[in-house]
Amino acid sequence: MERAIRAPRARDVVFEALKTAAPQTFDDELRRAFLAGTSLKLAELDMDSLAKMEFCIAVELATGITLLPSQLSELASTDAIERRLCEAAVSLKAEE
Amino acid sequence: MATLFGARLEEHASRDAALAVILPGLEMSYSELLARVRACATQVARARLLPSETVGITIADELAHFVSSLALLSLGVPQIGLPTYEPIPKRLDLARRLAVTRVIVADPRHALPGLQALPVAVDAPDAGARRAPKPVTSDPDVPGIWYASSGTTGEPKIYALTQRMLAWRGAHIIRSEGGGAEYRTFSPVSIEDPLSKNRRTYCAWAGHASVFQSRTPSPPRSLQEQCTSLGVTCVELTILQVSDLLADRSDMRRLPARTTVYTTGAMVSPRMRSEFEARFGVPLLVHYGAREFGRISADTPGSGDYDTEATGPPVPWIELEIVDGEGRTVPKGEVGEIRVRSEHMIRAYHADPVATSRHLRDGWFYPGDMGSLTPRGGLRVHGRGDDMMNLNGIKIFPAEIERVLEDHPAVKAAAAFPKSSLIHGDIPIAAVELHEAGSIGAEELMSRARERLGLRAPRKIIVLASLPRNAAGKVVKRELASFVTTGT
Repeated sequence: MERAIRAPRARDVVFEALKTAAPQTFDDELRRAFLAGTSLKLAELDMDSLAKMEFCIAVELATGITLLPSQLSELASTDAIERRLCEAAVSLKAEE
Repeated sequence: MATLFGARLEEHASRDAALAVILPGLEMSYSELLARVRACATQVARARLLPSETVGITIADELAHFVSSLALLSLGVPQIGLPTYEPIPKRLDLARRLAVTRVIVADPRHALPGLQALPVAVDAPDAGARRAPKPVTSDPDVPGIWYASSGTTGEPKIYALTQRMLAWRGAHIIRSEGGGAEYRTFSPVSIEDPLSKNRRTYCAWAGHASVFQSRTPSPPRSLQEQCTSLGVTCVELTILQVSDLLADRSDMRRLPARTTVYTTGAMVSPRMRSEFEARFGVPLLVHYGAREFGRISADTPGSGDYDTEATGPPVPWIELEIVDGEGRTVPKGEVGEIRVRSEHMIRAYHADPVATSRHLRDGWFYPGDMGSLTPRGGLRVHGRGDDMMNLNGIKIFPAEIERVLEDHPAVKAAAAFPKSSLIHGDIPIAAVELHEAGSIGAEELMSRARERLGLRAPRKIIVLASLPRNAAGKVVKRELASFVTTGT
């Protein structure tokens, strides 16, 4: 449904996906830091394979962009995920 | 007289140095395992169990769960796993349906409200437990382990495997996986999952070793390291785990040549299989089955030249047919409904005549999947014959979601449907129509659904002014799916 994605939108998507996938570790403190512009290290969020799967599903539902749980392991931070989402959106748009 | 599993454990324990359990830094022989099982059985027997009473097990620790499960099998006491990963209301509901009043726990925090906790300690077998307590029954044809799965009515279907069924399956499956003296199996899935638990139970029946994950927090070990250092010969992985392994470049070593790797399901692409073999040096074998029935088809280790369009040939210890809607077998290559039967299969679901008549007819078990036989005799599974969703191997029925949502007083009607995903299969979505606009939000409904359904909850809920319906008043789910995909 939603293809175009710019950096601020990507940040919203990551925020919502983390709320769903890592409700325990993505606590109020990390949420405040994230909203203030901090890039979070994924290691801090301690996401297991199930949490990664939920994260990818949330991203796919919000953007139409498919992300493999295993690809998350290559992305060390939330900033890196946002960049990946923006790049993927550009490719998708080009394909369309 | 001992139960089948009780006698079998005694037999294994009489063999010198036969290993039963292997963990990083610990190797446990069958005689050591038996001592723990007896000690656990003695603790449980003190609770004065009633004949045919079913006892719950809520233990995440693999060794403690394994010992407790074997203790109940030795006592002839039916058991059901009430996993820590399931929401508490679901565990309580399962307990209620099987009249469970007592639950074995290793961690007091896992006690369930309203049920008596039976704490057990499995790490310090006392000397007083040299003799096995007398079994409640040694009848091998009464329920041994109860299991719960999803149901079309929205409630999980419940069924039991007897000790005879477990033994029969264990003997066939482990033998088919090449179970020689060196056989050691490993599954990086919690023992609370029925498939993983069964693998360990079958292995115990066959007298081989189960490799467990470390009991203490430790740095993650690669599969290659796990298999090399712990001598694993047979691994079972989920399709997602295979996908993760292929993407993980941190350990580029190959697996030892002795390793047999299985994954399950119909969604294993030939590309994934060839990539796996190129990377790890061993083939990725596939099997297909149904929890209620057991293994239906499987690649045979060592046979080479696997039919990558199939989930392996039907296993030789069962009968399989592909039939049309009238129950007539279809010509080879044509798609039809899969049905199977075997000497030791379930005959009914617990207190669920609807599910029983749907899946168990005329002596056959119908898993509900469509399939065909390839020219080489392999079973190709084409997907569900009904509207069941499959999210990364998690089977989800729309009715199950709809029922939970419609259970909320603010919800007038709910409709669940899949959004197709190349990666995840079917992502469950739900749309709801409220009695009064604005009376509840999607977030609150999501939270309720997660609490009740766990992993089977919808991943998105849309609140609509009204659900699209046809002239007969039936919700048109196709329109809802289109709305999610296109926004119109």
